[in-house]
Parts: sequence; structure tokens; C-alpha cells
Amino acid sequence: MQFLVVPVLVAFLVALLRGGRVANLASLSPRCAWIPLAMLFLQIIFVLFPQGQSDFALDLRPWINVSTYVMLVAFLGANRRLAGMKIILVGGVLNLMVILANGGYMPVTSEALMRSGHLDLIYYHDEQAFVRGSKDIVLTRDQTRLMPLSDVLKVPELIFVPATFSIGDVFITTGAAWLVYSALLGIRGKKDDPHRLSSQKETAGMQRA
Amino acid sequence: MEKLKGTYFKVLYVLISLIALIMAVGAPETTGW
Repeated sequence: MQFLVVPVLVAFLVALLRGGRVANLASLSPRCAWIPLAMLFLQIIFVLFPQGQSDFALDLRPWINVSTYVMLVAFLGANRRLAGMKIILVGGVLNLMVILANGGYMPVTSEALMRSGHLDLIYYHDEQAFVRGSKDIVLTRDQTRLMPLSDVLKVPELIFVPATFSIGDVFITTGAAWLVYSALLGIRGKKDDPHRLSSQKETAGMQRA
Repeated sequence: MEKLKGTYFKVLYVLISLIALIMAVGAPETTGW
């Protein structure tokens, strides 16, 4: 399980303790909820675990990575009225910016990998180092563009998860935690989507009829 | 019963979609797989 999910699980439990209802999640009804599933599937096959694939498939990695991010940002934009989605959107755009600036990959330094004890995950393609199971490319500080937005933050040792992450990841996990927390407690976003509300009313009317 | 079943699947779908979103849009140096 990815450690970015942990704060969301904590938010879920806190909301439950405060009287939140799991069934409230059903009322979120995000538009095009299949997009994250499809994009994660593409990333797993082509980006996260590309070993054993042809050179052509490996060369496609950055294109597929960027394409999935563009789709995910579009998904977040389409669902921005849900509480927390705008925060996730900011994180997604920040990650997309640094990925675009670095040839389709999230940059990480070998020093950061050494700190987190993941040097063993490095593999090579076209004399370039990548990190297995991630979207990362190993670059030096001088080679990295938009360095502050790359994987430069480290999980505090107190939490026992040796990993580095980006500022965008902080926005993503914060927004997702707020989304779950507010959904369980029935806290609405600023305004509900008028289109979705009207279509819900129409559906309810049709069911009554 | 049918309504409960529908709600159950909707909740499951939203949760799975949210976890997929976090993993797909997040970019930590290790996914922890």
C-alpha cells in the first residue's frame, strides 16, 4: 500500500469516530470515476513496472506518464466542486509541471535514494538510471529542473516509512484526506454542481413516476 | 436490500477510485509496493 494513502485512512477513522457515515461516500458520485482506475492501470503496466518490455515500450514511458497525468488533471478539474478536489488538483498540477520539465519523469537524486535506503531499486535503460516501482528518474541536482517541486521531502523518521516525496504529493494526500473526512461527515463543498443536482432530481422524478 | 447493495457497491467504487487517484497522481520515490 502506498504511504500517501495512510493520511486518508487516518481521516477515515477520525471521521468515523466523530459520527461520520460510510454510506455518505456513495453520494459523492464523481464524474468519470473510471479515469483514475484506467490511468493507474496504464502506469502500472508501462511506467511503474516496465521490466522485460521491448525498447519501444520503454521509450513510450514518458509519453504515457505525461498523458495519464493530463487525463488525471482533467478528471480533477471536472470534479473540482467536490470538497478537497481543488487541493488534489493543485498537487496534480505541481507534479505534472515538474514531470514535464524533466522529460516525462519525476526527478530524484541518488542522495535522496541513499537516505531512504532505496538504491537497490535503481535500474538502467539507455544509460539512464530509473527507480523500479516509481515514476522517478535519477538525476543530479544540476540536471534537475524545478528542483523544489521534485521528490525532495523525506518522511519523518518517527513514522518508519523510508521514502521521499514532492510538495505536490503533500497537496494530494491532504486534499484526499479532506475529501474523505468531509464526505463521511456530510460536509459539502462550496457549491454543489447544479448540473449534477438537476440530473439527480430528474432521476429521482423518473423513479417516482 | 437492493438499495443497500447499491449503496455498498457505490461506496466501494468511490473508495477504490480514490485510492487509484492518489496512487496515479502522486509521485513519491517509492510507491511502497
